[in-house]
Amino acid sequence: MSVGLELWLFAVAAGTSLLGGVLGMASGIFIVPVLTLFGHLDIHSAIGASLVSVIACSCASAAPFLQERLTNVRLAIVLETATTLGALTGVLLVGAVPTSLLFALFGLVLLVAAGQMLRARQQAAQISSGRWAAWQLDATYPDPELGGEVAYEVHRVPTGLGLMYLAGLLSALLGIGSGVLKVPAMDTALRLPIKVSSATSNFMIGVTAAASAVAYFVRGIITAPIAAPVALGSVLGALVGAKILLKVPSARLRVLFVVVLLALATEMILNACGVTFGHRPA
Amino acid sequence: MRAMLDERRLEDRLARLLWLGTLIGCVLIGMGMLLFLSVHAPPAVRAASALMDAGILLLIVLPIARVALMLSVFLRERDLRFAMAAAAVLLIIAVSLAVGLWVKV
Repeated sequence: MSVGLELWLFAVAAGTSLLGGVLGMASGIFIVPVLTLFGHLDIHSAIGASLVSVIACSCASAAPFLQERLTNVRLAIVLETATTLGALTGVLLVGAVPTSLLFALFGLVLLVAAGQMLRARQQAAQISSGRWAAWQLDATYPDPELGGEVAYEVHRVPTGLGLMYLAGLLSALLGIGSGVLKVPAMDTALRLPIKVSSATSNFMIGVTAAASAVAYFVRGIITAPIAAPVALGSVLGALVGAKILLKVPSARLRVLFVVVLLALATEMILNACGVTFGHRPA
Repeated sequence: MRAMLDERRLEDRLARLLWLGTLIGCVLIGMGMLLFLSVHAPPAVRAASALMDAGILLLIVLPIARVALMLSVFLRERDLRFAMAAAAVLLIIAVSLAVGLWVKV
C-alpha cells in the first residue's frame, strides 16, 4: 500500500464529501464509482470502505439534529428493524451476486439519484387519519419559520417498512446510505415534514450500514489502508461542507452534480457490460 | 411532562455518545495515518495499522452502541414496544456478525 494511494483516497473522499455537504446530500454514492472506475480498486473493497465512511458521516452529523429535536428516535428504531433486516439479506446475497450485476445496479441507483436531484423535494400535505396513533410515533418538532412547535402524524407505516427493507438491502450490496430510497419512503409514504425526514433518515443510515459492516469487517473485506483515509476524508469534508451550505448558490452546483451522476452512471453500466476506460498500468 | 423530559435526556445522551465516539474514532484513524505516512519501519507500520483498525472498529460499533443505549432507556421507562424494536435491531446485527464469521462466501 503506497503513500500516494493513501493521499489520493483521502483527497477523493474529502473532495466529494465537501461537494455533497454543500448540496446537503450524502456523498456515499460517489465513493464506490470513483474508487472502482478511477482507483481500479476491487468493488468489494470499495463497498467496505464506503460503508465505514457512510457510518462516520451519519454519526458525525447526528448531534445537532438530535439536540434540535428534529430526529424522531422512536420512529427511527421501528424503521431500523426493516433496514437492518434488509442489510442482513444483502450480507447473505453479496457473495452470490456477480460483480457485473453490482456495477449495473449501482449505475441504476445513480440514474435515479440524478432524477431526484432535478426535482425539488415535495412535502406531502398533512392529513389526519389517526390510524397509527396507537403506535405513539407521532411527534412535534420546532420550526422557527412556522413559529413554534409543529405537530405531525406518521402515515402508511407498512409501505414505509417495505421501502426501508429495500434501502437496507441496497446499502449492504452497494455500500451506500440509500438516501435514494429513504427520501421517497420518508417524504411520500410516511408523509414526514422534510426536516424531520432528513434528520431521521441520517440517524438511521449509521446503524443500517453498521449491520452489514460488522460482517464485512470480520470477513476481512474492510481493510485499514483503504477504509481509514476514505472515512477520515469524508467526515472532514462533510463537516466543512455543511458549514458553507448556504453561502454558495446551489442551482449551478446542482446541474453539475446531475451531469457527474449521469456520467458515473454511464461508466458503471458500461463497466457492467465489460467496457472499461483508462486502465492505469499496474 | 415527565415523559418529555426523559425523551429530551435520551436525545441529548445519544447526541453526546455519537459526537464523542466519532471524534475519538477519527483521532485514532488520523494518528494511524500520520504514523503510516511518516515512518516506514515495519514495527511502525504495524502500529499504524492497529491504530487505524481500532478507529474503524470504533466507528462501526458506535451506531450499535447507540441502539443499546436506546434499549436500556426504553426498558427503564417500561416502554416495551420500542424496547422490543431496539432488541430486534441488536439481534439482527448479531446474526449478521455470525454470518460474517461462519458463513463462507
